[in-house]
Amino acid sequence: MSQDFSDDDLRELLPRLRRFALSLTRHENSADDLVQSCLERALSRADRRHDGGDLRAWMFQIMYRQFLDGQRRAKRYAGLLSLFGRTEEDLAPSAEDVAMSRSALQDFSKLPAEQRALLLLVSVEGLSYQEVADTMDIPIGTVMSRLSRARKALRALNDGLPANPSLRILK
Amino acid sequence: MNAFSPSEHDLHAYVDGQLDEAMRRQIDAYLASHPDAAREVEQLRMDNQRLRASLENIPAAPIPPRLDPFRIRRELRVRSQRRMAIAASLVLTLSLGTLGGWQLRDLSMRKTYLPMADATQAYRMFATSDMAQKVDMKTSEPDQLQGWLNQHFVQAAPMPDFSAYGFKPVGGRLMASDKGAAAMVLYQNDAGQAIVYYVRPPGELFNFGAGNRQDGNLLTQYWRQGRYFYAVVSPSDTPSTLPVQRAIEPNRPQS
Repeated sequence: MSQDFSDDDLRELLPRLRRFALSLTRHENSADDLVQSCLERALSRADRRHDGGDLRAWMFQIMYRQFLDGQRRAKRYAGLLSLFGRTEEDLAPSAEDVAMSRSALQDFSKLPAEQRALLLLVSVEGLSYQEVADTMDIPIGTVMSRLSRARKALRALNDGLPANPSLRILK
Repeated sequence: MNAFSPSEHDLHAYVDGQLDEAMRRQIDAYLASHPDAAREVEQLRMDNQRLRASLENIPAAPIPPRLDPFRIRRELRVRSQRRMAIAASLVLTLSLGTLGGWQLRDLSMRKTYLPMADATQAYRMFATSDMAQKVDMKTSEPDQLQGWLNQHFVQAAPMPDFSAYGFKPVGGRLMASDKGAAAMVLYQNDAGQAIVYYVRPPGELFNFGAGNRQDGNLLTQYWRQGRYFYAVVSPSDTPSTLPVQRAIEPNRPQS
């Protein structure tokens, strides 16, 4: 096999992949479905990965594209259903099945998917702007402007919250 | 101090550690003298940390076994093998069906196909007494008839000589067949009884060996030699043609 990553490399990435998936889908089951299809895609296309770049960024890219594809499909499906007179299913999470039920996360999960992805990739995963631009397939300038917009949006949602005093100060 | 003033994007990039050394120092210096900007940067850091902390142990559920790369790899392999198997069985089914269908068609056509039926037809049309005179090549000279045959057929077999049984060639006639020119040579005996010798190129569909066929009161005996099919059609309800028929097929039963 011509691939330059092993099962263990992927295993090591799994927690990060699941976190990214969860921040995209906001449901644990569909997040794991997304991780699974992302892994399948990555393993069956390992030979197309020739740049030898960061495996994590490559996996995030696959996952983000699959997520967008899935959303487009869901939208088409919803459109189809509405043709038959059904009302569109509410895809937003209800209070009970939000996996991210902690208060800080509730605000995060209210952001649009693109802003969630941006914030997670930059602030949590620490990807470079260029890697984020590649992952999300947008220009680097767009990454920066959307990032500051996303941070403002999140802060506006957080403003209702008291600052958490027990928050660990990370470097 | 100086005119340098970082943009909002610069501050974000500063917090995210995306700046090069020179730019970072510049902003360090700028922040030291601009408390508003420093507060904003501090706020951004806080926001980042809050987000990181809240996402740190997410998702809380343990990794389900279906996400193990080894297992996924194995399932992909099984799936592709299954796909290959399905594709192979499809190909097999299709080719079996095609082959079988073709054989069946061949079989059913063979059942209804009468070899050298055109020879029998030629006899019916042209060997009756009143039509016997309407031949293209009217001669009783075997050499002339053979020459005429050779004009139309490449390496045609020599005409059979039935003179020992009382039948002599009286004329030849060109016929049309589905594969080009065919020819018949009419033999008659003194009693006016007729035998037809028939030559034609092979058809496209079927190749048959030697054989004979009884059709009404006519016996068609046929064989293949070289590039052509040959047939002799003779009436089977008269004893005078029996020796001829036996000469063509030595193994023919006596009756």
